[in-house]
Amino acid sequence: MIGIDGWTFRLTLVKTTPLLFAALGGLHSERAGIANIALEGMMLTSAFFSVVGSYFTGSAFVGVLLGVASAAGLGFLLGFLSDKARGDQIVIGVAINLLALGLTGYLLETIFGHPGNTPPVSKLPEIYIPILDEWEYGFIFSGHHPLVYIAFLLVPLVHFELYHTPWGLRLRSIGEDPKVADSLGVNVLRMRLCSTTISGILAGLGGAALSLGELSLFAERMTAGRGYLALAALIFGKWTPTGVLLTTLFFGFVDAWQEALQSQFMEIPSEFFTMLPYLFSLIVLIVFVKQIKPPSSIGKPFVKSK
Amino acid sequence: MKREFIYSAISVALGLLLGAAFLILTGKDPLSTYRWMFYGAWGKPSFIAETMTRTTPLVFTGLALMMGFRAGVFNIGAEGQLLMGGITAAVIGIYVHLPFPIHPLLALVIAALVGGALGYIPGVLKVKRGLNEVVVTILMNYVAIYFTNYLVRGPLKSGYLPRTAPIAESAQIPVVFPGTRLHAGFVLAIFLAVILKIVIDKSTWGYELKATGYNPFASLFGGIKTNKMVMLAMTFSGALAAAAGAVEILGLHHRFYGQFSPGYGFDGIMVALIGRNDPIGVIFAAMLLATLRTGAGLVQLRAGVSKEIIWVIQALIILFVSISQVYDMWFRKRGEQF
Repeated sequence: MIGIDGWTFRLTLVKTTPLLFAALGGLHSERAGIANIALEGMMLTSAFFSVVGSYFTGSAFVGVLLGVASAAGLGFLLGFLSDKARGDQIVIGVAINLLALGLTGYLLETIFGHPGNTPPVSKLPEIYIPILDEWEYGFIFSGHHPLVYIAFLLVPLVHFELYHTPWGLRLRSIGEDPKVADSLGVNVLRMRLCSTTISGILAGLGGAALSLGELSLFAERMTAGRGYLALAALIFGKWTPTGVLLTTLFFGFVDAWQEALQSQFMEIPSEFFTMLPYLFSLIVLIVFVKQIKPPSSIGKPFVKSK
Repeated sequence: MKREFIYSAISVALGLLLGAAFLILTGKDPLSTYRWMFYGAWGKPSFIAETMTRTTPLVFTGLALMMGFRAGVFNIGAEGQLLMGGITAAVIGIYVHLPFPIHPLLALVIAALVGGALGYIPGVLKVKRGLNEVVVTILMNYVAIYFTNYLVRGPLKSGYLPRTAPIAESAQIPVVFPGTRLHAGFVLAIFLAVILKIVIDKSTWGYELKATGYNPFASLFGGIKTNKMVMLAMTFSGALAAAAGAVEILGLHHRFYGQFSPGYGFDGIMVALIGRNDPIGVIFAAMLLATLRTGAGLVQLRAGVSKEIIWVIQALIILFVSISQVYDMWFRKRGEQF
């Protein structure tokens, strides 16, 4: 097809990374029964604080830590308000996204003195894998920033966590029927709080991958709906790690492809191509997804019976 | 019902309070910030007219979200529907030639039809396929945002800037007070809210809508076609959101450009929630947000505080609204003691 070569596949891996992190994050909270529309805000907040950390310390790794911590805080907030305050999870998610938008916009102007974007900061290093570099197509897989490798390595790890550990079994059980899990002695509230915090950590890694891996600065609203795309990927992927891997790879590929098309057809406004990943996922959703069954308890606050 | 409005008032107060704490934390003066905010929105007749102008689209999108919430669905796609409504109205305003009162009316009606269709799609997908309307409408938003931006940079571009040509004078919604930007769309918004208040509170249809949102299973058992109600609510919701965009273009901007909406569709969520899904509550909630928005200009200019602060305050207010259950529990506990 037009505009597809080795570099498109290399870019696909880069574009998939933030989505994969966020979708795996969403998987943790939704499998535990908490709808997570706040992935977008978590990514944006982490993207910002990663850059702030890197700006003030000169170390991209410290930046990533700060970013992840900020997103973890939002994850904790989501879990806390959902269960302790029994708020509507979607509304809390919307509020967190608004908060992220306002906070990053306000602090950007207050810390850096002007709106729009931050100055460039030190970014994550590129890591080369010697064996791959000798292969003709090695450049597709080698020379990425570390978060790219971590994202893909997380897939088998999360799979193992979910299906082969007691913790994973409990996580799935509270998402299907928290009352039964509770009666069997699982601490549902604590597990749900852990799961949303983990989802914050993972979405935060996704945000950092965007601002310190793909780019080296923060721009207002830079996540541009990636958190929502990750959520869509989670649904297409039927809430499983392997499903999520395939769907985010698909979105990442469409995103990489549209960038290639943009530079090839300069006379067509770029917005046309930017629209494609969203349009494609909408079409896939409508055409291919027949009947989906989310975790049963999703969206409902858990009230421990006395 | 009344207690709900009290919870909203508490949430607003807490949001402003926490916002003040945040301002102090970042080394700013909250009192002068809030004073300039209030003055900038209500200090002079011309400021008040501006606040009313900004209230207009918020009432429309607030009503749009309210329609969905009433039936238990979340039309987060209002922003996309608003943009598509706006571009539809602009196209009819530019390329169709009609005399005055018919021209804007036709543009408004067709825009609402387009929005209705865009609301119907996620409604059908939810009912027939079990697809979550939140995800579908969010994806539709991004398609609409990029599609309209593509149009004004491509086929519909006029001149050097990415925007359409101006609409014909016969298509404009007239200004109510000369010298201000306040147009008749404001009157229409209030009128619609009052009509909806009557329909929802007094008609069978309004009752069925509420029942569907409150308990879909019981409603189905009671003979209400809940699937139909969900699709209807989404359709009306889409139509109202598109009308917001159309009224902004026909009454205020007189041409379409990509950034004409600072997110009015998303604001509709806040308006509906703060207004407690009541049409009259929506009017007041829209005025509240418009006050923040209009006042933000002077906050930046005079108080030296980034106007982004209003986004923080809004988000805090919504966080407090979202946990209203807590107030409820607190009130009940008090009640038990006495």
